[in-house]
Parts: sequence; structure tokens; C-alpha cells
Amino acid sequence: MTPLAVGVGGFVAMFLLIMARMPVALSMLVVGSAGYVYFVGLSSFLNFLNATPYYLFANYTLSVIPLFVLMGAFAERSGLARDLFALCSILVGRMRGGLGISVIGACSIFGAICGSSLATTATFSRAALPEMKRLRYEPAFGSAIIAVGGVVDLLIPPSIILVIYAIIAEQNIAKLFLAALVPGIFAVVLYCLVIRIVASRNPGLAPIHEKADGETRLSGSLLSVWPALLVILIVLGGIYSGIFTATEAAGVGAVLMLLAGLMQRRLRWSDFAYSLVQTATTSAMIFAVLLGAEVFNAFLALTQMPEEAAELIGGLSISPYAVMAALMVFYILLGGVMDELAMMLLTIPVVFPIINTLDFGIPKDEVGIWFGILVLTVVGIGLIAPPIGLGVLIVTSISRDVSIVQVYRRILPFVAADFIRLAVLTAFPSVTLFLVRAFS
Amino acid sequence: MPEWDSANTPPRGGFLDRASHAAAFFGGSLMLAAGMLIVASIATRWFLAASIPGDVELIQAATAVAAFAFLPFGQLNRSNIVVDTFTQPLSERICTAVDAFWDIVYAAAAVILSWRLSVAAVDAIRSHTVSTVIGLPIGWFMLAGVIMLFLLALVCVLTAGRLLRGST
Repeated sequence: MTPLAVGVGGFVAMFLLIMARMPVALSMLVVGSAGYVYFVGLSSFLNFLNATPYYLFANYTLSVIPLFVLMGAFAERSGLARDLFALCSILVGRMRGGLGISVIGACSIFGAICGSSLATTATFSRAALPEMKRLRYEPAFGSAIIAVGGVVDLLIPPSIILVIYAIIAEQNIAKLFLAALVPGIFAVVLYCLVIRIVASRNPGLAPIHEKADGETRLSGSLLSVWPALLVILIVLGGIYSGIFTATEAAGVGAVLMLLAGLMQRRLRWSDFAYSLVQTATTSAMIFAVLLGAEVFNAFLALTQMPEEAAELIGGLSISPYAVMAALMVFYILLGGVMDELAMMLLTIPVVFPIINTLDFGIPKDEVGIWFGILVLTVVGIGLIAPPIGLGVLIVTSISRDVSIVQVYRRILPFVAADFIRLAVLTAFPSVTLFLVRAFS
Repeated sequence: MPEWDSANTPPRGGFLDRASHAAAFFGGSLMLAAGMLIVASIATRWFLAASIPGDVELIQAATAVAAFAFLPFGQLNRSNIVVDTFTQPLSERICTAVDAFWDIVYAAAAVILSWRLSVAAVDAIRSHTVSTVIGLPIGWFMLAGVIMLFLLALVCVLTAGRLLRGST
């Protein structure tokens, strides 16, 4: 068998195992190990394995992940989700669809801190859905908004998934954060527009509510939110201005978020302990997949599949944009069945060299950044779009009184907005890149 | 799919539950300590124009030990990403049995990883391998990883047993 055939066989075997409920991390580890042994023998493989996990984890850049997760856990336990939602609903809640817009606004800020789309969805299902139901929002529409709100944060810095992309594709985290800003805000604006349009056309879905929101409530709400907002500002400002590296920003963010919670007397001992342990659960998932991917990629390198695939596709006389479009379709399909993290770790090592050989008329380092934003955009579509959409599954499992099909129906306009966004970002790379260019 | 509230439940009575919970808490504390070190290092860099010597090495070691320490608790709460789309038509009993089987495979993988890391740790301790700036003894940090990976293996067996007994 040629090395390439072994590589393809490895991918097929891994997908079969994943389909058979084997944890993604374990299937990468098992198939990667088997493939590695096939090429270099058992004893070389065992030697390779010795210190690999240690040096993989003892990585300064990688420490950004648990640190950001920790920052998010402190923010979550301080009640930030509820506060942000309260603030946004005071600001825009009384307009048509205002409560929905508040959810999107609060999710985009909270999710950026929390770092996990699915966790954001779960949090807001509890923090905002009851309020939406109380104000007679249609439960399916409310659930759809929360599912969408959960993925909007994929692109709002400091998104953890963006950090992971930066690490595996060897891109500059600060530049990626800059690049993600406009597409992220673009997503927020589009979703808010969709809510406005849907709510105006079908007022029964999102009734306007009249509440006496005095200025005292606004100032009270601002008072409870400002420390967390200040922490985000310091974190992002530090990264953008180059004062901090991403790891430093994450460390500073975690410590400051803890201090903010303590000073506001919102973090009790139990919340503190919960945050540490919650960090373990989320980080364990990420580190396990990273370890699996490390071994699988070592195998993949032996097959030379990434280089050969890049050569093959680079040699074809088709437009680079056609290749990009095909890749986007592939990611949307994959996103229907797979979690965003696993999907990226599995595909980037093969797909990235392909992208690098294509000529889009922009410098190579910019292609890496642009591609990352596009991938995260499609990953977001995968998380909410039928027939699966993990975000929809979570919100319906928490909400309990809506069927998945009802939520799918309400989510379609948002998915349409996503496709418009994807088309714009693909056709005009400068939408993503102009901030990066302006700052460098 | 991870259970987002899992960390909120107090550890169950068994030794492995408590050990994993303690390891997770320890790992989280290590990351918080790393965060504090970063803040201290930035402060000294600003005010004294020099960062704390060996800060990067300490953070690296803390991250490695924390990552290993997170794994058993992650497994206890079934935080690993599993794609269950294709097995939905199957009965719950079959899915549970399959999950328990993969837990056992994971246990085997953890034993092998633990064994190989122990070889690396013993090598590093014997050869006095230390980090370059402040001379951290790498082998001892690896040894912590060995223990955590072994704990992971035990937890995998525990979770498999729980699945089969239907008590998860």
C-alpha cells in the first residue's frame, strides 16, 4: 500500500470509529497510533510516545486555553449572563423583538468571555428563556434566538476556538482576534436584523412589552456589569495594543475576573471551587482532543498526505475560489455531525496546506487568517443548522416545551443570514483583513 | 456531549470520585496560580523592567500538570466529545454497552500512556534533566502526569462499570 492510501484508510477508519460512538480524542489516538506503528514499528512508536504528552501540554501558548476557560467560569459564576441580559433588555428590550436582540447582545459579550458556544447556549437557556416565555415570546422563536446567540461568540474575541485555530494553524492570535472583530459584529447585526424583520412580520412571535424601566434600574444594572466589561476591555486592549501576549492577557483576565467577583461579593467559596472544577471539565475535553490530534498528525505526516493533497489540488486548473467554496460545503456537512473543536483538529492539518498552495491574490499569512474566520463562520452554521445543530439540541433539551422541528423552522432565517455573511466574507477577503492591515 | 452542570454536583462517595475531584481542583488551582504569576511578572516587567526569572518555565510545568490532572475528572463527567448522530436508531442498551467498551479501550490507552511517560520520567530524573532558566526538575513533573494518567485509567474502568450497572 502506498503511504497516501494508508493515510486515506486512516481517515476512513477514524470516521468509522467516531460514528460508532468512540470518543473523538480516543479515535484519533488509536488510529494515529496504529498508523504510526505500521510505518515505523512498535518500538519506535513507544519511544515517540514517551514524553510526547508532557511536552505537548507543557506549552506556554497552550496555557491560554485553561486560563480563558477559568476567566469564563469566574464570570459565569458571578452571574454575568443574567446581568448582561438585564442590561441589554433595559437598553433595547421595549422595541419590537427587543428581548431577542438583548439575548444576541448579551450572548455575544458573555460568550466571548465564556469561550464555549454550547456552554453559552446552556447558560442563556436558563438565564433568558424563562423571561422570554414570561413575556409571551413564542418558545420556539425564543429557543432559536438562544441557539443562534450561542454561536455568535465563535468570532467575538477572545474566542477560545479562535485561539485553538491559531495554535494548530500556527497563526498569530492577536491578528486573528483583530480579523474576527468585523465579521463577529457583522454576525450580531445580521441576527438582530433577522429578529426585527421576523418580529415585525409576525408580531405574535415576539410581543412588545411595556415596563417602567426607570433610570435607577439602568444605573444599577450598569453598576453590576461594569467590572466584567472593564476586564474584557483590559484583556482585548492589551492584546490589540501589543502590551500583552494572548497568554498573558488570559492570565490577567482570569485573575481580574476573580477579583471583580470577590469585590462585588458575588463569588462565594462554593462558586470559586465550582469555577476551578468547571475549568477542569472543559479543559479536559480540549486537552484530550489535542493529545489525540498530536498522535494522529504525527501519523499523517508520515503518510505525506497533506503535501500530496495540496500538490494534487494545487495542480488542478480550477479557480481557487471554487476550491474554497467546495471546502466550505464540506465543512457545513461535517459541522452537521461533529463538534467544532474536533472538526477543526481533524481537518486543518490536511486542509491548511491545500489552502496555502492556492493563489487568492493576497499574501500567504493573510490567507491563513482569512481562512480561519471562514472556517469558524461555517462551523457556526453547522452548530445551528438542521438536521442536527448541537446548539438546537441543547436549547430544546433544557427548554423541554418545544420540539426540535419547531426550533429548526424558526432558525431557518438565521441560517439564511449566515449564508449571506459567508458569501460576503468569502467574496471580499478585505472585510476580514482590513483591520489587520490597518494595525500592522 | 458534556454535561454542563456536572461540576456542580458534589463528588460521590467513592475514593476515585473524590480523588478525581481533588485532582481537578488542584489543576484549577495550578492554573489560577499560573495566572497570578503572569500578573506578577507583568507588574515586575513594568515597574522593575525585568520579568520574574523562569516564569515561562513555571507556567509550562503548571499547565502540563494541570492538563493531566483535569483528565480523570473529565472522564468521570463524560466530557469527551462523542458523536451520537449515527447511533440514534440503536437502543439505549446497545449504546450504553458500546460506551462502556470504549471506556475500557480508553483505560488501556491511559495505561500505555502512563507507562511510557513513567519511562520518560525515570530517564529525566536519572539524568537530572532540568529546565534551562531556573532548573526545574522536569522528571518530577512528568511523574505527576504518570499518576494522573493512571488515575484516569482507573476512572475509565469505574465509568465503564457504572454504565453497565446503569448507575450513571
